[in-house]
Amino acid sequence: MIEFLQEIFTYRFLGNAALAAVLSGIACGIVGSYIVSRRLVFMSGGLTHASFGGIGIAYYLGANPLIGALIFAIGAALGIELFSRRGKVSEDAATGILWSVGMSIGIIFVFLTPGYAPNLMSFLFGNILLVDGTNLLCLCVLDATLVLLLGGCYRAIVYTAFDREFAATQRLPVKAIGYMAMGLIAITIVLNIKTMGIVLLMSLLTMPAVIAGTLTRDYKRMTYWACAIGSTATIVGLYVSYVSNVPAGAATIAVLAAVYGVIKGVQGGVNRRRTHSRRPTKAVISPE
Amino acid sequence: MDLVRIKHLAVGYPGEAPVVSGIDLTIRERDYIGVIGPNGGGKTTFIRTLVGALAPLSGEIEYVDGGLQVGYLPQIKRIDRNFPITVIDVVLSGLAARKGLFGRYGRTDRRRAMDLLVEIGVDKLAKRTIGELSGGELQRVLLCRALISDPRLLILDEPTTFVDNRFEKELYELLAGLNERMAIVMVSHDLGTVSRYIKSMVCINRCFHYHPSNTIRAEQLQEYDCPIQLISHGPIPHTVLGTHDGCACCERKTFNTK
Repeated sequence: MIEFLQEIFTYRFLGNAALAAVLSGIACGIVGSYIVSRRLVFMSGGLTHASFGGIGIAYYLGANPLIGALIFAIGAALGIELFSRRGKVSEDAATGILWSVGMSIGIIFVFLTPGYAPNLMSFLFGNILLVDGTNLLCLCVLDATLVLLLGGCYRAIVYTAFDREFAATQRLPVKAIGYMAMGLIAITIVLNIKTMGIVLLMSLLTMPAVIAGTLTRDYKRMTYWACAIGSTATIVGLYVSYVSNVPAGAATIAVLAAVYGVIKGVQGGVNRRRTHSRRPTKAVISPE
Repeated sequence: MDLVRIKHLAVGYPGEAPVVSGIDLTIRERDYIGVIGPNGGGKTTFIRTLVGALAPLSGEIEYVDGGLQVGYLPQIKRIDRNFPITVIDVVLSGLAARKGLFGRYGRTDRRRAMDLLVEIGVDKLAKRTIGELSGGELQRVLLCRALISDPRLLILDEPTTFVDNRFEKELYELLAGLNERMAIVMVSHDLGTVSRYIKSMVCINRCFHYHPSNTIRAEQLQEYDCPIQLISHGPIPHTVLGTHDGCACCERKTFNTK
């Protein structure tokens, strides 16, 4: 453990990875609480996978894959928001289509790219050790934006998420808030593909928020908890990866799953003990 | 004094045929309008347009006082009861119009919310999350949310669903008291109970009829093509409104009553 901490400060790539782990955990905690509360988990999965189409095309054109992913994810997010508001296609059907079409476009273009085929594994499962300075800067800006926005308009955002129609009657800019939220979900997803990968990112978005939801039912506290749980899990995942040589992303999700299991187990145990301890009291009260 | 003037309004969803058209209505201070009509007739669409959650398809809604404060209690089934939010925060959201995008909610706001919760008799629930409430409790909390901004016009969409009889009576008494200082528009299925309290009524079933009294007879409902059941007949005076000219609904020959 101490050796791990020493090496974080010795080796640049490990230091970058640790910083990225914390920043990812915070961004996914904030955005995750929102998507879990608003039941947008499946839609976020769709955005994540749709962005792979952008990665493929960017590779083919020799452009920065991150930019391609960003264009696809934001386009898909705004598309879903627009179409589901019109009510012509149901949101989950639209998501399902975007999900698989994005993946297929990505794979087609990756295979069409002449010469060395890029490592698909690192996009699908992420590699936090490859995070560079630019990635870190982007994550920093994202985290700062999320914290400032939520800090500044906390109630407007939560009230719109809770009851959009009522928020509209209160003359809050619900449309702008809706589009902004979708845009930020897309950006958060794309910037975290490098650390967690397309397949594993959904878990980092949902599990900390779900675990937080078992501890508190207040939106603000849920967000705090989700950030703390998310960034702790990513760091622990990195440590597990350092010790055992398994990929950090997968280790992080395993840690989260274990934490969730333990919390559920403890809560179940406490409830059972409560019902057990109640029984003798009841017997005393009722003489027959 | 007029609060809202509605002229030639058509309501519905963008890109589709209007759900209700030909709406002309003026809401005045201390009005108490009951909105009746069958399910799917467009009551809620009209209400959602009136409160500004839906844009009018054509025509206009003029809020005479510019930034008129409207209190709104939506249908309870629209609320996501799994959302992690506490009762006191739900009530405070009724102040969002005043607070705006960056608003801070201070101690006075909190106290105001608590006073309301005490008044409606649900102050013990303040710290609970809405998922822990019964339907009736949630309905009371939503009423607090509608009232916290001290509106001049209160709009309620079926406020008595999921509510026990005792609260229903309390609610109607409370609304009668509130009517001293604010106009009320209320959608209700329970015409029999409502007619004792309201001053005028509106029938909505794809078309729109204003009826300037609180009593209505089965024949009139038929004229309005408003197939709803009259639940109670009491010793209340009846007035008959003849078919009027130039009205699409009155000229319609088919009555799909019941």
